[in-house]
Amino acid sequence: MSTLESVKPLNQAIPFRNQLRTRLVFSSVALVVVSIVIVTGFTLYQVYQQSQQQSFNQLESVAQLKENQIKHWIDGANEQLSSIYSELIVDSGVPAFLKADNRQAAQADSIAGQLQHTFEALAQENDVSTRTLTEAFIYDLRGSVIASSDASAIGKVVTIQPYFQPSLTADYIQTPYYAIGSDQLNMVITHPIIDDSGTIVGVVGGRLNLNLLGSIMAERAGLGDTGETYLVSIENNYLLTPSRQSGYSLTRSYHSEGIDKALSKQNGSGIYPNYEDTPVTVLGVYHWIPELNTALLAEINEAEAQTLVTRTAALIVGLVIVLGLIAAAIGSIAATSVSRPVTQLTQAASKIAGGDRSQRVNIGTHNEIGALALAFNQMTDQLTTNIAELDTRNEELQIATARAKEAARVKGEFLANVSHELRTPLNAIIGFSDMLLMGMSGELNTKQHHKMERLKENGVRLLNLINDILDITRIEARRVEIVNKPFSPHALTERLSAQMTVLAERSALSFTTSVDPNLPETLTGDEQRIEQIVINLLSNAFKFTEVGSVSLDIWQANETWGITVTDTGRGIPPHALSFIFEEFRQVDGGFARAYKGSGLGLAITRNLVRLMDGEIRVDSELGKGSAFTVILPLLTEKPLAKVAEPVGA
Amino acid sequence: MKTVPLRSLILPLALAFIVAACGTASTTQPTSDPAANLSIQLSWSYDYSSAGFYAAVKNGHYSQQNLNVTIASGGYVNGHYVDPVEAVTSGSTQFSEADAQSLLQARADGKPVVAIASVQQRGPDAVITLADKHIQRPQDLIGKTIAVNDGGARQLFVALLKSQGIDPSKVTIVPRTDFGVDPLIKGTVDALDGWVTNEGVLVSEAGLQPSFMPFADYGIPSYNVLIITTTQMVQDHPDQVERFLKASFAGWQDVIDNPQKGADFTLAYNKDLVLSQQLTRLQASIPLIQPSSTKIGGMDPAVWQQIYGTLTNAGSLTKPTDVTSAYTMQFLKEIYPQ
Repeated sequence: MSTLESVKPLNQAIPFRNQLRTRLVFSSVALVVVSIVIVTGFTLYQVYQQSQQQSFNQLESVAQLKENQIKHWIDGANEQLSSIYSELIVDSGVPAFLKADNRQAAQADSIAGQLQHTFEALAQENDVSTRTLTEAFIYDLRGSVIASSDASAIGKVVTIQPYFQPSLTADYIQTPYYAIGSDQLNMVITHPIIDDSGTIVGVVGGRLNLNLLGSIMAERAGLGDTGETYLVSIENNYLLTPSRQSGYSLTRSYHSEGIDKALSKQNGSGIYPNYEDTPVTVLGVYHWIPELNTALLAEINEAEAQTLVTRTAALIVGLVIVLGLIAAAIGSIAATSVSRPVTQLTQAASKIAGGDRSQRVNIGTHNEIGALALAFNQMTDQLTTNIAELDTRNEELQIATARAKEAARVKGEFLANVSHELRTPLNAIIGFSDMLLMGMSGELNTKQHHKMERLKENGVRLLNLINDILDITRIEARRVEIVNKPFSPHALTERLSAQMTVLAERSALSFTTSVDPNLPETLTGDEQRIEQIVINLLSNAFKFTEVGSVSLDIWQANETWGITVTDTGRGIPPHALSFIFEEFRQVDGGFARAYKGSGLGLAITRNLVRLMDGEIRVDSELGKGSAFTVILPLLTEKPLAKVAEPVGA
Repeated sequence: MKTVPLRSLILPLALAFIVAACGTASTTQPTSDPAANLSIQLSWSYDYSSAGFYAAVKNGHYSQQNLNVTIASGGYVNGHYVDPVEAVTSGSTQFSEADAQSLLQARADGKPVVAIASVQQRGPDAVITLADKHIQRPQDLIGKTIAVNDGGARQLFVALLKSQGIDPSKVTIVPRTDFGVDPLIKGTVDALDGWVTNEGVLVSEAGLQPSFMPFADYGIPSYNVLIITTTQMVQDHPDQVERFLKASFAGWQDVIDNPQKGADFTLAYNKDLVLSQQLTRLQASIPLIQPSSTKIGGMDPAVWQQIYGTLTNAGSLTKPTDVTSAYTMQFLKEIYPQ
């Protein structure tokens, strides 16, 4: 019963992460999350690629559109300058005036007036969005402005202006430049003035309307919230058109990967930090515009370009969380359907192990676990039946054992009583036989004497038999008391030797004794019973030995000491070794037939030895002799008297 | 006598060659020499107009060229005006900032000085008015009052009027009394002769809209911040001169790319200045430093010719001199090969 107390409810001892339920829930969540992440990750990547490509395509088309508008704007300026040239110069005396050594102030005023008139007429023809020129002017080969639609420009000298040298040989478009003192960017197109002989005599120039260019670039259609297009001049990386950057400086150098690549005359696209002081990462498309010597940039913030990706990613994260929770719930339900019956089974098994065999599992599902529960219940039923049967048999056996013990006790008691009662008349028979033999009732004749002796002899034998029976029954009934007290084994041996010498002489056998010199002078034991044991063994030895010798050895080994009686008698056949210590058994099976004796001697000896916590052994070889050895515990101090317990206690 | 196998000679020869190569390499390596100590004398006290030189020091361009350059403040030091031309000829410095007129005058006086680069490629001098006065061309100055510094400035202004066919007597020219723009703002004068980078910015800072007539737009260019040295230096240490210019130009490029940094460096040299004012003036002068179609430090022989002609005609230069030997394009050609 003690082992059952160690049985505890098993499910409580299992760590949370090892529990079937935990594992099932985790597995289902992992399955859902991993598959969603893989599928959506791939999708997201596709979306990312596509939306990026889409953004680039959009930027590219915007850049293309702007480039076309810029070219159109330049073409417009060229056209207007050409019409000024054809209207004003071809039919007038301008070349002649420019060539003249001594120019007439009046003629200069007239030319200026005509230029102004033509320019204004041209402005009338165009609406605000196509007035590409803000000023038209004429200068001579020395750079002196002789006429201009802006009167304040007359008299200026343009020799230090960047367009001056190139303008003297061919049509020229000056890259936008920062005009010192004017605080604004300028862009000039020029056309040489050729006289009748084909000689260049001066230049007609037009100042372009950069505000118009600015408004072209500022048009942000199709660029979302953060998109912008702008121009950066190759001159000092100046920004030519307003950008998103508030308070942009005309005299600042603007740099970014896109700007620098475009200014090194490359077209392309990329993702890079933009020109701002605190750069923002942008998706950019950059074009080199050779006509303007500028970079055209179309850019959109990466964050905006990837809004779709960001939103999709957020959606997916949400989806993963929701589906993960659903998976956890489903997994939990599924896990419960498995783990609950398992737990039920475990608890039932624990209770059954604890002795409560009335436990049955009620699951009621028709799956494998249901079948397991059914089998479990059947097993428990069978177990209960078997245990009940065993219990019944146990009870029966206990009753039978008690009865048998009682019967044995009654038998022993009966035997002891009977023996005792038998001894009294027998003693009287022997006593009267003695008296008759002594002639107390008159002399007996030889025949009578002989008969009387036979009577007494048989009486004594019967008495001995009864004594032996009484002894054995008393021993079996545990009524023999072993009284341990100090005694001298040497004295005991001498006494026995003296007694047995007579017996030896009578039977013409040699008899030797030996005592281990190491044996203590005094031992503790029941001397009387030990003597009885030795006499029994020696009597048997003499009884069954016809020629040879009998020896008695007292020896000591470690914690034990012993008595060995050796003879050269007929020996004991191997099959008999097993029963020679039983009551009333002699080797030939007869009841004290050939040899005198009750057949109880060895049984008594064995029982006595056992009472002394010793053991008895026999070694024998048929026809050669036997050796009986008694081994007893070596007691040198005086222990308490050992009292045999009553039977059945 | 045994003949020595050719093979046994290869190793010693190779070793000797390597040692020799290392020897020559180390003599041509500028970094193995101690850094050359050079200095430049500024024409004015530490301010934005020399920011590129500070940047060349602070950003390590001089030390990259193995030069140890000190920048000496100019203008009035301890009550005495430091003459930058004098500073180079006396040998107290290798380089100076100087304007074209001082240089040409020194040349005419026979001093062995030469311009090697021009920090400002356009002159900042202009007739400055207020935009609402609508004075847009020199002719508009007739009958108006203009404050002009006496001396060279007045001669140039008269030259400007003459070049536009204006009788100088029809314009009232009064001498300027200070560096400020108060007379213009208060209306005591209609215009004043000053720098777009200085008086121009002052007008803007006063919250008014300035209007400019740059002298350069009327064929009167000027080089106001030249880098000059002695002909001796050019002859004896052309490599040092070239390295000095390279590093200085790199400093100026840094300032153009990041004027804020340039202003910070200026303050590091002169903490008494106001950062925002230095930044504004520096930004205003960047178009002068690198106008369109030019390289940093560049000079133009045509402009030199114009300057010489204008100064001679105006009477500012009294002695004739060979203008083409007042400057050398040698280093610019070396630095900007084309």
